[in-house]
Amino acid sequence: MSIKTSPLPLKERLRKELANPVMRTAIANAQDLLNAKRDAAFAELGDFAKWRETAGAIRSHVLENLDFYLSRFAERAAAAGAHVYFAGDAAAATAYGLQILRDKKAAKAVKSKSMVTEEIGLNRLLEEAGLEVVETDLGEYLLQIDDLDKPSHIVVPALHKDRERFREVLAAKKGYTGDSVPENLTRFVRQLIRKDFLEADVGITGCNFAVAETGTVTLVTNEGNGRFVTTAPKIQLVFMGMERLVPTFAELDIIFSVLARSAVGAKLTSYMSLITGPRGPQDADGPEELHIIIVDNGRSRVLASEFREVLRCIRCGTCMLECPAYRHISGHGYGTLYPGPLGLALVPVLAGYEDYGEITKICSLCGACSQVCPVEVPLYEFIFEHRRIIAEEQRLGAGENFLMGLYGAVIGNSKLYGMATRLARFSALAPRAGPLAQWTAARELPAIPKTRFRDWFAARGKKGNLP
Amino acid sequence: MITGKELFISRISHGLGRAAPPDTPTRLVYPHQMQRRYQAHAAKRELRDIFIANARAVGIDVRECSERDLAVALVEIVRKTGGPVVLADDPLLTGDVARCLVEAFTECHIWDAGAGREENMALAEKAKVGVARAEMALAESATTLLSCHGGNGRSITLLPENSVIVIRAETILPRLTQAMDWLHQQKTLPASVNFVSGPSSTADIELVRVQGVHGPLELVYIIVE
Repeated sequence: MSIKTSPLPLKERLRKELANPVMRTAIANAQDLLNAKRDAAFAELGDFAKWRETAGAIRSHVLENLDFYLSRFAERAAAAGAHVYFAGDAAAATAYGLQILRDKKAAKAVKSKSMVTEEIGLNRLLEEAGLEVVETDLGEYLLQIDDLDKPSHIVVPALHKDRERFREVLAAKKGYTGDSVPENLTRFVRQLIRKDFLEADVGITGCNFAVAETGTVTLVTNEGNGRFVTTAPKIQLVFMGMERLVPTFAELDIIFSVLARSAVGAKLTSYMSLITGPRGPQDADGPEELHIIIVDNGRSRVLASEFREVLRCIRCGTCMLECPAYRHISGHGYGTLYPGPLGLALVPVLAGYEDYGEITKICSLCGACSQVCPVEVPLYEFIFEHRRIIAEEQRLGAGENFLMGLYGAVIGNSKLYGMATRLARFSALAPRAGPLAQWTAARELPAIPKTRFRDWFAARGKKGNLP
Repeated sequence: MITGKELFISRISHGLGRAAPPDTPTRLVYPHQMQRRYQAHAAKRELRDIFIANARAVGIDVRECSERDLAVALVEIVRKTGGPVVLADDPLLTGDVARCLVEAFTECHIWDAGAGREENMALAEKAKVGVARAEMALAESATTLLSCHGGNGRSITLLPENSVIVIRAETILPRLTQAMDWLHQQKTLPASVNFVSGPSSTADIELVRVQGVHGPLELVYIIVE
């Protein structure tokens, strides 16, 4: 996979998602449930405004000093015995990973959920090279065996599927014969993946945050797969986006404290693993070799742009849970690996307006996302700015350009304006087919009075004789 | 070993409007210090009560005993689940505790860091119960901190279906902030440090919480005076 997750054009994608009742019910329930849990978790913590201001200040500080902290992190990680590889783009990152697997004659890799490996298309490359790659997060595993379905949420990837679909897929692909009770489905997958964990030569993970002062990488999971992937295989590959750093453990405290609450409404996840170098001389288990691949892949362009602060993002998914557009079209409607408000703010600058300018129209500009982001990314403001830039560079479609041009001409000319306002009361006759159909099909304009305000006002005279 | 750093870092420096990384970072000013206020003046007993209540709320079985009764408490737990047992090589566990468990059950293994990966992991995979000691515990989130190195192999609290973590009562601190302070003070870090805040779980199917995915299905904390 890469940033693009669907070959369909935007409108077809949206039509398809809007016509999927299973998904729409699942996402609406998930939003309501997780938003309530998050609110409760932060209410218990108290001082939400202070936490997010502090977390935002930390992330902003890291970006402002990113060259310094990355250098320090690489030195400290190497001193702890890790191999650190800086990859400018997806091709360099995946080629390095593949080379390590080939050098070690590896046949099987187990993976814990990682967005950056999805972004660089790691699985496909490894599979084409004849390696077996097993996703071990329960949701990701199901997507993988369901003919490579795509995640619809960055924290709960199979949010769009119900238990019946889980059962069907496990039955068809893995010979499951039980019912659709989540516990039974989970136990079945536990047995399957346990074998993979113990057989795999290589463990592949992402990195939630790396600590610059010690060269530590961290993994946050509830299922325990992050611990497994970093315990059983002899070789571990860690892929991390270059901005995923904190200076010291003190900042990790703040970020972890808001991350789990924002993502799933928990105080902390069941497991947080801190990995510093490969296993020590006294250790029996854990990887003998640790490779950390730091990925740019467009991020330095974002850093240099006016949209730098979007790199504060801690990938909690809160903005998606709060978004009214996401509620109806899910992550799939965006057609991008990073969906929701984060996706609309990040992807157009990460991967270009040419391919990803149009998706910014999905946003209704309600601004809810900016209010809940735990690191104060100005998401709504960024999406609005993208749209302004796109409009000013005349990247709108021909129809929209024509209408906007017409509107500008009418508004800017008093004779035309006068004529237009006199005609406005016939607006109910606007055609319900043709170029305006997208508007008129779903909206009723308020009835416009027969008399214009300016005519009514002129008729009253100027003596202040109120009705 | 570090590869490809120069070009990569210089691109970032340029993006930040400079030729090279600065010698020191700008000063990070915390706008607030709310994290230090949590239960800052709580007595040890209060922290312990908060810890226990929070642990029970997420489905952790919490027991309390004196150090002398630890062996009895563990035998009782293993009697319910059955053996074999794998123990971390820790002074708190390898003396009386190991002797009692061996007497009561046929198979009780102590992690042997010198014995190699395959042998240790095979024993942990066969075990029904894994027992380790926590460096400290955190009241707010019912968390235990495990330094997984040497005699405390990573697999002990991961592979067996039942996980037992022994906590010394005086090591219960307010929250993650204090654990991070402790990590910051360490001269060398073990290759693996794990924070455990509950049994392995998932909500990937319709957001229904299921306990026990890849890690232990059941988690027991024993607080020792």
